[in-house]
Amino acid sequence: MTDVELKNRGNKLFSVRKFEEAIKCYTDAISKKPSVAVYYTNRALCNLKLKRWELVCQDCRTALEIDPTVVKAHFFLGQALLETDNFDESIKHLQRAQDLAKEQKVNYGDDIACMIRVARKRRFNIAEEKRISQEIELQTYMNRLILEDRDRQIDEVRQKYENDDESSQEEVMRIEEQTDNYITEINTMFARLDERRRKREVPDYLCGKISFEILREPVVTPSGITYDRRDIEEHLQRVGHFDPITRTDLTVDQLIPNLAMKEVVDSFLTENEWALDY
Amino acid sequence: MIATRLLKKELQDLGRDPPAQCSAGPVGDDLFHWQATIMGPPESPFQGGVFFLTIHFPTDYPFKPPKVAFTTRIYHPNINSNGSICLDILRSQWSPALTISKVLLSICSLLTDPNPEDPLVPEIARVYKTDREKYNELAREWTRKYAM
Repeated sequence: MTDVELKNRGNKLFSVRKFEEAIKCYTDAISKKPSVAVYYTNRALCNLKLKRWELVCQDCRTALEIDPTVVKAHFFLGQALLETDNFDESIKHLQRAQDLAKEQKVNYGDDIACMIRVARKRRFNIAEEKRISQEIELQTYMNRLILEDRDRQIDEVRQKYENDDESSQEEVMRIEEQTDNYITEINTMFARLDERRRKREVPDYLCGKISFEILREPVVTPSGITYDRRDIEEHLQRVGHFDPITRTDLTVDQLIPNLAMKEVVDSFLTENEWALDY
Repeated sequence: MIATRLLKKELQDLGRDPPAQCSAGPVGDDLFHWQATIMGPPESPFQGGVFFLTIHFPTDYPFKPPKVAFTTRIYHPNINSNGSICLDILRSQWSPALTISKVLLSICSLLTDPNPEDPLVPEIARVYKTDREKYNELAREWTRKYAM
């Protein structure tokens, strides 16, 4: 069999989910002609299905050495890197995949964008966990410093007023009161931080007026109302040809992308990565 | 699914900014089945009554309207003995931009201003149009009997 025949055979096996056998075909194709990027990306996809992340990375990188503009290589590599917690690199490759797909006008639907959201969200969650545990550590440390300082001050007072019990008692009480205040204040500050974290919400004006999810593809109607494209198209198809809020006539060709709103949402998401899957 | 998230949000908004004279919330943990109450609007013969309603949301809410029905009997030309409500926004005039809060407010204004031209109970509509005093009296009587 020629390398092309082997590849075709591999594709057939892949489509019936016989990944191991498909891998063998692609490997044979590669040994016949090692300079074809698609043999590597096809094998990578099989390994992706089998969760062999390391092998996916290897094949994708080889494919990219042959041709750095292969969308699939960046896409699969991004996914494998995500699975192995290499978030920054993963996001870099997924974004490259998205840009290249746009340039080459290949349609991956929402797949790449969706994966980028997942990767950013996961990166955020891990960073957030780390931030929280650092804060707890800091809080514990500061509490301990305040208490140690109290003990040190009390010792000093006791030494100073060796024979004057009354004065020392007074001074000790003052120190203890101040310590209590400091501790309360510090703990309130940390509690407020925590509170803010729990109360996170996307403002309504960044959400579509139908599903109230954060706008992914904002479009504006002739009435000036902004909806998410997916929701308003579903409405026009299923409910009727009118603007849901103003009830004026509306057809799908009248929807105009609201790019300014898209920029606002994107910048909000950059600063508030917790909202990525809101 | 949009519905689950949206219903949670509507519930949250209801708690934050409840519409006058109405309340609503899920029955048990089923987010798609709610119970609502409407206080009879002042300056209507329903004043002083508390009316219960059930609300069932379809899984494809908000692209389909919720099913809203009275469980408390009420003497009204647009509400029949099964509790069915004849209200355009719950049928042909539904819009996915509507919320349950707006629906309840519309029902409140329907109580104050019946629509006898599109009646569900023609007999009550006839009384409403021809003998308003009798209508008010019967509506008050039913309110006392069923809603207090």
